[in-house]
Amino acid sequence: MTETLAQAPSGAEEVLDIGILDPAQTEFYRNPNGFLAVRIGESDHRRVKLARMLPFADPDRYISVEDMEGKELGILRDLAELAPEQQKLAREELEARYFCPAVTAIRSIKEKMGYFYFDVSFGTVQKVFAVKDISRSIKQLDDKAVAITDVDGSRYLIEDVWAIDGKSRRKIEPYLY
Amino acid sequence: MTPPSETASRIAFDLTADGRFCSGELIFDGGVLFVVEDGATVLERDVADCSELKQMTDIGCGALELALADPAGPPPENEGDPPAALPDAENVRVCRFTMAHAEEAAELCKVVNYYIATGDQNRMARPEGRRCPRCGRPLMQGTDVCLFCVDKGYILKRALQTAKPFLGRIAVSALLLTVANVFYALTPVLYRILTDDFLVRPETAAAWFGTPVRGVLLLALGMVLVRGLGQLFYITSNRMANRAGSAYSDSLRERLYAKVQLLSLSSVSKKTSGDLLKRITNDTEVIRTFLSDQGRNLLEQLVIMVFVTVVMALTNWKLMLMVILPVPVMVMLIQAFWRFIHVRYSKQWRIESRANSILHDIIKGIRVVKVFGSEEREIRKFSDCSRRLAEISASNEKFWARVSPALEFFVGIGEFFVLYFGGRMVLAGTLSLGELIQFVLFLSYIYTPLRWLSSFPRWLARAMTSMVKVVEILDEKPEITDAAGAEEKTVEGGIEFRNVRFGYKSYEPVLKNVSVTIRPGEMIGLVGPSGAGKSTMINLLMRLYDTNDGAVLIDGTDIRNIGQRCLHDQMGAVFQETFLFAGTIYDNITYARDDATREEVIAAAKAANAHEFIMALPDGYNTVLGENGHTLSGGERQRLAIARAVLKNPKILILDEATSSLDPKTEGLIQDALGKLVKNRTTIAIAHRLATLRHADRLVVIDRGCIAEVGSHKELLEKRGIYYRLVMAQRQTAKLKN
Repeated sequence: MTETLAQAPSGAEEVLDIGILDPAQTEFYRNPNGFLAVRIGESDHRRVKLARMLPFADPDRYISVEDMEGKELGILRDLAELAPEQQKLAREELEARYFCPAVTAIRSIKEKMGYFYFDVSFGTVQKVFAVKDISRSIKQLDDKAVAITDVDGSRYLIEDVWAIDGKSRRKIEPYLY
Repeated sequence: MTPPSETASRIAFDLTADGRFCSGELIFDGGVLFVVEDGATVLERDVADCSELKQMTDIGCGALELALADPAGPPPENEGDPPAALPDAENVRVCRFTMAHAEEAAELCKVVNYYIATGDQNRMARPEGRRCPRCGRPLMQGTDVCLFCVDKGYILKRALQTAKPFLGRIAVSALLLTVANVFYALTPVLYRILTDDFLVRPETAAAWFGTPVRGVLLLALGMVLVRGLGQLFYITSNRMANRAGSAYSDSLRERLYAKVQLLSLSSVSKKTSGDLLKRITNDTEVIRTFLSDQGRNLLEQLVIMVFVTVVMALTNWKLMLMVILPVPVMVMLIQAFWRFIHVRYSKQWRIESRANSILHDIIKGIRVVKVFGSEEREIRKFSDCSRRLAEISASNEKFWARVSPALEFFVGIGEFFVLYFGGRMVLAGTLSLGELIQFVLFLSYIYTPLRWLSSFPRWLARAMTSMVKVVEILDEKPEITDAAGAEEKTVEGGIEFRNVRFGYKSYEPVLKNVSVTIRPGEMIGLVGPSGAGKSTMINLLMRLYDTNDGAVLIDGTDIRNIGQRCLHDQMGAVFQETFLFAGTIYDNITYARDDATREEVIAAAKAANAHEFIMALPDGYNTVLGENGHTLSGGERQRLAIARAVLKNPKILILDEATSSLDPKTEGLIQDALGKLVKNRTTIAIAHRLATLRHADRLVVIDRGCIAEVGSHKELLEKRGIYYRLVMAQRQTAKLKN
C-alpha cells in the first residue's frame, strides 16, 4: 500500500506529458542575426526564448524553451545534460535574459521617507538605485544569497552575504531577516 | 557620425549586447538610428526598410530591436499603420538596458514608429522626472521632490502643517506647562531661603516676620501654594494636550483614509492591505502618543533645565559649570546612538507589518487553510514571524538595557563634582549651606531630564518613522485626477476607444492600438481568450487607469475631461466577485444610491430576481450580512449586486463575468434579471460562456491586445475566424460534459 502511494506522482506524469525535451535531439545555434535558435528533432525554430521555471530555487534546471509568442516548445530538465557547446549557448542566453549583476560592495544604504537608496559597486562599476518596501524587495534566497529588486524592476544579487566585506555586510544586515 | 540635429531624440542605455554595464546613447535623427557605446558608434541604421522599433522585456532588463518590413507583405490597411513585419528571428538588435531606462525606451519607440508610419519626426516626450537634478538619484513615482534632497525639517514641517488647526490649543497647553514647571522648580529656592535665612540665621526671619517660627510657617504655606498652583496648571495643560492630541490623530486618520480612497488602484495595489491598515491605525497612534506624552515631556524638561541653569548661574557660576560640564558629552553620546536606534526600530516595524500581513492573509483565506488541512503550517508560519518579532524587540530592549546604564553613569559624574567642590566652597566660606542644598536639589532636576533625554531618541525615532509613513501617503499624488475645467455632463452612452494603447507598465502593452465605436443603447459582448485585454478595456472605460496613448471618449468627450464623480455616477458594474459590505441587505442595495425610496429598493430587488430569496430570510431586507456576505450563496450575492446596479440606473452598464461559475438555474434567473437591466442603456459584457452573449447587438473579439473581429454572432460564425473557433471549442466541451 505504501509503495503504491509513493509511486503516485510518477503515475501523474504518465497521464500528463509535460514535454521534457530529449537533450540528444535538442540542438541550439545562433541564427545569422545573433539570436538563439533551436532544432528539436526535425523541426527548426529560428528564434527562441529560454525561461527558468524556478529562477531562484533551481536556476539551471527545468528550463522552458519558448517561441517568440511565448508558446512552450518543450522543457529542458537540466542544462548539464546538454553538450558543452550547447550548454554554453543556453547559459549565455539565460544570463542575458535574467540580468542580475552581482553586488561586490555596499557603500551606503540611506533611508528617506520609506525609500532606501543603495549606493553599491559591481566590480568597478558604481550605481545608486532605490528600493521601496524592503520586505518585498529584498528577498533572502537561502543562508547566503540575497536578491534585491529596485523601484524600476531591475534586479541585483548578493551572491554570499558572508563573503562580502564586513563593512558592506553590516550595512545590509539590518534589512535581512 | 555628424552631430545630431536639435530635433533628434536621444535616450541613454546602460548594457552591452553581452550584458556588461556601459555608458550608451541611442540617437534617432532624420530617419537614422545611431547606437553609441562608450563613445564609439557601434550601429548606424536607416529605418527606411523597417516595420517597427520593438521593445522586448526580459527579467530585470530589456532590449530594443528593429523589426524589418516584409517586402512581400500586404500594404498597411489604413494610413498611419505600420507595414507588415518579418518574423522576430530577422530583427536587428539595437541595444540592451536595465529597467531604469525602460520608460525612456518606450518613448523612443513611439517616436521611431511614428516616423516609420508617417515620415514625420516628433519630439520625444520625456518621461517625467526620472532622476533628481541635484544628486542624480532615482525619483519615485507620484512624488515631485527627490526624497533624498528634501531637508530633514520637511517631515516636521508637514507634521506641523497637518497639525495646524490644533496648534493654538497645543501652544496654550505648552504655556501652562511652562508656568507649572517654573513653579515646580521654585522648591529648591525656597529650601535655600529656609536654610540660610530661617535656620542658620533665625534673626533674619525674626526681622521679617516677628518670630522665626511664624516665618517658617509662612514659608511652608508659600511652598504649599506654589506646589498647588503648579499642579493646577499642570492638570489643565495635560487635559488640553490630551484632547488636542486625540483630535489631531483623529484628523490624521481621517485624512489618511480619505487619501487611500482617492489614490488610484495602481498605487494602492502596490502596498499590502496590512501595511495600509497599520499606517492608518498604529502610525497615527504613535504620533499622538508622541505629541501628548513624549513631546510634552521634552518641553517640560527643557523648561526646568533652562530655569534651573539660570538660577544656578546667578547663585554660583563656577559650580553651575561643574553641573553642566557633562551635558555636551551626554548629547554627543545621544547623537552617536541615534542612527543605530533608527535602523533597529525600522526593522522592528517591518517585521511587525509582515506579521500583521500574514495574519490578515490567514484570516482572509481561512477556508483554503482549512480545506487543505494546513492549519499547523500556517500557525508555524505566523509563529516563526512572531518569534522573529519577539527576538528583535527583545534585542532592541536588551540593547537599551545595556546602553542606558552606561549613559547614566556618565550623566552621574556631575554629582561627584558638586559634592566635592561645593563642600570645599562651604568650608572655605565662599558658598552658604543653603546654596549647597539648593544645588544638590537642583542636581536631580537637571539630571533626571538628562537621563530621560537619553531614551528620548527612541521615542523620536519611532514617531519619525511613523510620521514618514504617514507623510508618504499624504504626499502621494493620485495618478488619476480631474482635468482643469472637467465637465459635469449627462451622458447618452456612446463610447469610443480611439487608438488606445495601454499597459499596467508603459513598456508592456496590454492593449495595442484599440479602436472601436459603440452606439448609445447598444449591447456589446467582449470576447477573447484570458489575458487578451478585455478587463483592461473595462478598467480604462471606468477610468481606474488612464491610457498611455489614444483616448476613451464618451459621447465624443475624452473621459479625462469629465469629472470622475460625474462619470462614475452614470456607470454601473456587476463583477464576477461581488463585494458586499458588513451591514443589512437593504444597506447593501442602497450603496448605489442612498437617496432611494423603499419602493425603488424593492423594485430593484424584484428586477434582479432577488426579492424572493430576501423574503425567505426571517429578517427580510433587514438581514444583517457577515463580512462579504458570507451567509449568502454566490448566486444570491450576485443578484444583490445586480439589484445595486438596477437601483443606480446607469447609462452605461458593465458586466464583467457577472454570471460565470453559477449553476444553470441560477444563471437563468440572473440572465433574466440582466435582460431587464440592459434595456435602454449601453451595455458592455464580458463572458467566457459565449452563449451568454447571444443577444448582444455586436461582439468584439479581442486577441493579444488588438481587436481581431467585430460583428454579430451570426456574422462572426460565418466569418469562420477566432470567434468561430471559440464557439466550436465550447460546443465540443459542452458535448463532452454531456
